[in-house]
Formats: sequence, C-alpha cells, structure tokens
Amino acid sequence: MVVGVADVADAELYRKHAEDLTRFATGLVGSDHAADVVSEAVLGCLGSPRWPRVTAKRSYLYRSVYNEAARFHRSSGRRIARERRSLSPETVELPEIRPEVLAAVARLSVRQRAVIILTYWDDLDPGSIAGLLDISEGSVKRHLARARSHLKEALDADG
Amino acid sequence: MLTDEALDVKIRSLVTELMESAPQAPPLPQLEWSDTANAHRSLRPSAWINWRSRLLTLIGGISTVVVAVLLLLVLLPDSGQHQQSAAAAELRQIGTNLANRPVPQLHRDQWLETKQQVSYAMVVDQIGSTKISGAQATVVASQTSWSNNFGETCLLPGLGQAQFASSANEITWKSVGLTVDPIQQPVSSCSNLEGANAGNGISLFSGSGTTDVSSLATDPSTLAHELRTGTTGISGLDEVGSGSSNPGFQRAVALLLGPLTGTTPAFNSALYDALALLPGIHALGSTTTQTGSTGLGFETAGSKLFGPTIIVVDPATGALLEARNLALPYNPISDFVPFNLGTHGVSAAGSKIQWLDPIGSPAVVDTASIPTFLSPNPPPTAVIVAIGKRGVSAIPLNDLQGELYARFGASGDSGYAAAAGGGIMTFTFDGPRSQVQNYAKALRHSDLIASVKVNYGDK
Repeated sequence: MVVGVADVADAELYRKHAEDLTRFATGLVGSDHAADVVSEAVLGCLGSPRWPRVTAKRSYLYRSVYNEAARFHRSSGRRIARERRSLSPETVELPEIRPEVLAAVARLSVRQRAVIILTYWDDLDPGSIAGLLDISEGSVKRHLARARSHLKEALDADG
Repeated sequence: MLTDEALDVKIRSLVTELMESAPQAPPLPQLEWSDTANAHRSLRPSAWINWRSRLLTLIGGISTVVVAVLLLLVLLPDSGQHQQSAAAAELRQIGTNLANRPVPQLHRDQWLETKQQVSYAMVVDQIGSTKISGAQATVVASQTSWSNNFGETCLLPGLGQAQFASSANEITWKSVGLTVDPIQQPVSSCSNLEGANAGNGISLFSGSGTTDVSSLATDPSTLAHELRTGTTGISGLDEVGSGSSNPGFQRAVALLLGPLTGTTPAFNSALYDALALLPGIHALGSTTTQTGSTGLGFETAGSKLFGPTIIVVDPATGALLEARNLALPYNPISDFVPFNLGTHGVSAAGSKIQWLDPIGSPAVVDTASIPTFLSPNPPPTAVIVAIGKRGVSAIPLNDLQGELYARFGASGDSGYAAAAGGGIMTFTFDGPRSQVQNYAKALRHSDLIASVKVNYGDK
C-alpha cells in the first residue's frame, strides 16, 4: 500500500474528529473499550469499498462507531462481563467517575445511551438522531423517553 | 421527585461527567506505530482496495491506450503534430529561461507562504441507494499555506457559498437536503508531513504538505521517464494521475502546483525540459486565467470525467498561473452535507477542481507571519526519513525502532507508512545532534533499511 491523497486526507479527517468519536464511544461502551471500538469502526470505514465515495465522512464515522458499539454489546457471553468491567460501580479503573453515574448509565441499552449522548452532548434534534442511527424519529423519541425514565429512577433513588 | 427541568440538568451533568472520562483518542492505526497488531491488520483492506484499484486502472489504462491509438491513427490531423511541436519549443524556451533564475531559499526557521484561489465543481449523483440528477453547484475557496524545510505545513482555508448555474440546479440541490452555506470549514491546522506522510504535490485542503524535490533528477530525459512511469521515488507524487491518459503530465502539474522544497534553478529548468519531452501536450498560445493573468497555455487529454487538463504558465518565471480540470484532493461537498443526511452515504462522482489560480508569488516569511491560533511547531533539530527494504514488514521495523529508543533515547516524534517500495519511517528530533547522528548511523548499518536521509533544515 502507498500512502496517497486519500490516505493523507483520511488521516487529517480522523485527526479532526477522533476526540469526538472517542467521547461518543465512551458513552456507549465505557472508557476502557472506547479506543478499541473507535479503532475497529475506523478500520471498517477505511477498508470499505464504499468509503472513497462517501462524502459526509464525519456522519459516516459516527454511525460506524455506533454500529461497532452495538456489535460489541451483542457479543454473547462476554457482554455482561464487559459491561461490569466498563460500567460497574465497583470498577477500579475509573475512579474519576462517580459510581452513581456509572450505575445510571449501566441501566441503559446502547441505543438509549446513543440517544442520550446525541441529545445532551451533541445537542442534536430527534430528526438528526434518527438519520444517524437509521431509525424513525418516533423511535428516537421513545428511546429518549425510556432513557430519561430509567435515569430519573436512578437519580431519584440516588437523591 | 425530580421535575423535567431538573432531570435535564442532571442528565446533562451526568453525560458531561461521562464524556470527560473519555480516554485519549486512539492513533489512526494505518499511520501510527503504537499498535502494531492494528497497524498490520489495517493494511489488508487498504491493500485490497489498492490492488483492485490498480487492476481496474490497468484494465482501464490498456483500454484507453488501445482506443487512443486507434483514434490517433484514424483522426490525428497534422495540426495536432504542429501543436505538439510548438508546445515542446515553448516549454524548452521556458526551461532555458529558468536555468539561471534564482529560487527562494529557506533557512531552517523560515516558511514559504503561498496563496491560492480555487473553484470546485460539486456534483451529487446518489444519496443512499437513490440516484440524483441535477444536484450541481460550484464553490470558490481560498487558501493560504505556509511550508518549511521540515515538511511542516500550516493551512488556512476558507470556503464560500454554493453557487448554481441554473435555478433547477439550486432547487434540486436544496430539495435533497444539501446546504448553500458550508456547515463547517475545512481543517485549519499545522501538520508535519515529512517522510511517512510525504506530500503528493496537490496540497489544497488535503493537508498533504510540501514535496521535497531535492532527490529528483535534473537530467530532463531521466526526469521525463520517471514522471511518465511514476518512478520518481516520491510515493505521493507517483500516485498522482494514475488512470489518466497522460499521467506524466499530471505529475508535472502536481510539481508546478507545489509547494516544493529543495528546488534549484537546474531542477526548475529540467522540469520544463522534461515537459517538452512528454507526449500529448498541445500549445494553446496566449491564455487568460480566471483571475485575469495572461500566460502561455498547454493542454493534454485528461480523463473522460474531468475533461482536458490545462495549465497556464508565466513564460519568464515558469510560475503556474492556473490549472484547470484536476482531480479532487479533498471533496468540498462534505462541508455542504448536514449531519443526518451524511449518514446515508452521499456519492459525488464527477466533482472536480474547475480551476486553481495561485495568487501572487510565494513569499519567504518568518514564523511571526503565521496566525498564532494555527500553533506552528518550532523547527526540530532534524528529521530522519528511513526507507525499509522491499518486503520488510512493519513488525521488524517496529522492533528496530524500539531498539533505537532503548540505545539512544526516544526521538521527539515518529511515524510510519507502508509503501510498495518499502515501509517509510520518520523520526523527528528535538534533542542534540549527537542523538540524530547515532540514529542515522545505526539505521544505515541495519540490514532492514534501504536508505536513510537526514534533514537538518538547511536545504
């Protein structure tokens, strides 16, 4: 392989969005696995025959990170252990996050987490989130409502 | 019991806390050392694409040559040969004019400032699986770039509004969800692009940086052969023009576009003499550019998609005044696609640079001339570019780097890129020259390394 125009442009694009993608992945799978998820997603994008023809690459990368996070959680058997490692209140790798935050997020599905992050961090409206996650706007609103309900329970209990 | 408002505040605070726990972004595996397994794995899909692309290019190239030969035999009028002879004579004369013309010399703490204006033709032909017809616009952009002898390039780009040739184009453009104002500007930044990320000669917005031409031949015949066959040894440059009917001309245009370091009067003269030796270049005579300059025009058949490639040059200085119909190093459409639309995959076949005009002459400036928010890196002690022998994979080269770190201390920065001729390692040093010399000596003695170039910035 020779590093050419596209590769250098891709590297520049990645440098521009890497931090945002990693934050998004952190919200979906926890900080322990965020880097792996981003790496896998980016590799998948760069290796896709479609990638050179994709022009809105930022959105495409977000979608890929979401898909990779969903795949990560779907992996049977290891899912619970992974979630415990990444989001458990007992985790020792993430002392900077309060246990109640981890406990609240742990109650959410990947899709609910994505909807919460895109709503409260990226300030996207339900229509934009629907496009990003390839689901209907109604579905986004339902996920948002359920996620808020779960978080409300957790935060109420926390006082 | 939390109210909705209080809940929103709490969730926002929770999400902020979670986002702030994000680790450092991982390196792009293809270009970085830190994860050898990923770097190795990442080569597969890209290499596959490259292989497929080359096969298609080869098939396309053979077909193009056959068709071109048949067309030439049947259609080539005598005037075409006259135009070619005229072009060769004019290009040789420019070469002669440049033989003793001094070139700007950069000291290690100086920069070459260049300004360009460029018009892009943007064509959206498909969104998701839906074919689109008539979603076309143009956008004019301007860029200032600063490059130094160490491969550091700073870019300050600015995109204008989308403009439409007809109201039908405008209606279609808006109806599919594309914006008239750019939703974001291309990246403004400084990057070090020596060696592993060597420039490709067409730097506009791609961050591809300068091309160091000090290693290129100054014998016109040799240079013409290397440009025609893509064997200059500068990987980014050799990739330019693959698939076009006259790749040698495209590569020469890439060099004229620059920015270049390591130029000499002998090289500048040889470049025009080499152009005179390339086939298929026709003289257009006196030609006026989009921004009002006048020079000599030259044309060659480009690709079916983009039309003929045209350059306009100043015969006295050899400076490029305009280039038309070039492939895109960066696609500006991405800056006109809203976030939610982009997730469907927007295809933009046929988008191109309509024209690109350098504004004024490149100027030698000091660091203070660069906007401070771009944060240019101070000049390093030196940069070493080492090219691995053909067939040596990333893993032993990574081990070699680890050995050098252990023996002589870590260099300030490093990078790696796989390449057909051998992996390219780049080491940037901030420490003493003795460390640079130790690295260079060890690399030259290594069985894994084919060549070592040490750059102290005094080209």
